[in-house]
Amino acid sequence: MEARQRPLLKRRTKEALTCYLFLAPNMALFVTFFLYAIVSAFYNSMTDWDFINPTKNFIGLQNYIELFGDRYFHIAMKNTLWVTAAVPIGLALSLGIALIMNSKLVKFKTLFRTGFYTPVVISMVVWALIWRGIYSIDGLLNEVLAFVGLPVVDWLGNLKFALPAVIAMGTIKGLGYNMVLFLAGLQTIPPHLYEAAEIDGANSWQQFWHVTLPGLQHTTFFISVTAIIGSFQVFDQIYVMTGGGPLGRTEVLVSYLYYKGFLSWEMGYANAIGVVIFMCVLIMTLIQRKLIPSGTEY
Amino acid sequence: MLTIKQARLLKSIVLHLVLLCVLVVGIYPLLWMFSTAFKPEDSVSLVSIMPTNPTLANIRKVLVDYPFWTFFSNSLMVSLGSTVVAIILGTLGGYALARMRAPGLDVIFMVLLFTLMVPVHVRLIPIFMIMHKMGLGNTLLALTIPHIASPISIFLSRQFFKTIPRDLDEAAIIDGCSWFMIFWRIIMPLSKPMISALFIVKFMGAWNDFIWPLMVTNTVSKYPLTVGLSLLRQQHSMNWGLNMAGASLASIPVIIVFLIFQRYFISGLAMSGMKN
Repeated sequence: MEARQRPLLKRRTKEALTCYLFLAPNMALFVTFFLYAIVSAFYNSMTDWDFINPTKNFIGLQNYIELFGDRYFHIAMKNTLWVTAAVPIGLALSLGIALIMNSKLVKFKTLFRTGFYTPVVISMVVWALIWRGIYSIDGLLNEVLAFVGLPVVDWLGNLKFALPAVIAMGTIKGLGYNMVLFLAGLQTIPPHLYEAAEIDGANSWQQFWHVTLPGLQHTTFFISVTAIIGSFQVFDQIYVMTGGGPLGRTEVLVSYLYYKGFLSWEMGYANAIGVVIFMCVLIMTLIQRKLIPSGTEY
Repeated sequence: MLTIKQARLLKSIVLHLVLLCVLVVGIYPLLWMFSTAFKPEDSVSLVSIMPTNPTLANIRKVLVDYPFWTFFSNSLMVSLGSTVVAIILGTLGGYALARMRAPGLDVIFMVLLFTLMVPVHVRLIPIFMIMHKMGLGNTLLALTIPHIASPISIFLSRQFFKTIPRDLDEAAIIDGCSWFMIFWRIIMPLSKPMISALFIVKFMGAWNDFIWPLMVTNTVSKYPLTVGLSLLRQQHSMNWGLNMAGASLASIPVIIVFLIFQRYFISGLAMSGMKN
């Protein structure tokens, strides 16, 4: 008995050691770039650290109190929430396209899918450079508007239209991504449900409402939470297209963090903005975990 | 009154027209980018996608007067380096989590699940400081290392490896294979589709990354393409031909790779969805 147990014990120890060895580089990276980084972000958000001055004083929640009264932070938060508010529009459009793509009447599906997905793989910086041209005063969009007799607008310089314009080009870029996910979701709905609904005399609208939408519940939850989290992280297009202007009308949380941290070097304050973004995203993720029952696969 | 067949045909035409409209909105900007790259600087029309008097001057200027190849090779080295290392470390870690037993693994798995929820933006400034303390400020390594720390790689590997039947490794254990041999000879060859998809997800993430290189690099020789393009935009704000020449050159490789490996892009998408 004992003679047998010893090699087993030895094998178990060896297995555990190998296991730790395989995991060690990952853990070292996670501990440094995630755990330490987050603790550091929280700690430094409670300091008056400004990068140039070597002394760093602990000031408690001072930065957060200041943040609550900061007019520019309010603007950045409000604009970010507008980006979030536009998420359902993008989702509805993607779902509509996915429904069409799922129809038996549609040919050239691969071609369409490739086309829709191409903007997704382009970097946001490139996409933003292009749309700067399309939105410019003598650009494509204005040419089209003039053609149908509508007034010409300086889209990115206009106080009212700059933010919607930036949101719209981001939505268009993301359509293909969400469409492919919706399409995958649609294909998991068993066809016999539609057949049964048809036998019961349900028209296509009723089928959509009672079969398709419930069948897409998990997909929709997943896509919407991903998109909402993404809306808190918008930055590239703002930097390239407007720099937060005109008059802060397109300033968002991340662009304000960048401005505070890397242009005016208020690192403590910028860390506080980072923590706010983290909290927003964390809350959304936890809501998602709560809402989606486990065991669903995507 | 339309016959059923005619109604179906009509419906089919309408559906195709709708899809075509969406396709135009998505693709026209890209066609515009390519054509504008060939428009002479004094070109009147910003709008058309057929350049009058096409010229190679913009492309030449970007390639010759700009350190385009420096940007390009920086992007390539950072994306390739971080992706390969992240996949090696991720698959090794995922294998350990999926197949081995050791005390404390559930704690490690909890840490992993937590890191998956952390957005990069809260970590930007701390990582910036870590890089400076390590003396890596404004280096390609500073661009690469944060992408190597990749919870997605380890998590997706673990999930995938769990679907591979254990009978195979048990047979190998009886044959006296070591853990690493099982990983290398059995698990990895069976995981090629997963690894390809993971490769694409990681590579694209690093290639398109903008805010991190914007923060950590401050000399032109260290810029990746994304930051290089934004520099072009700052210096020649209204020279559309030049801007679009740079944008086109930066995008052509990505588009070609996408067209060839489409399958993996789509399955990579499904996988990165799975992480939640």
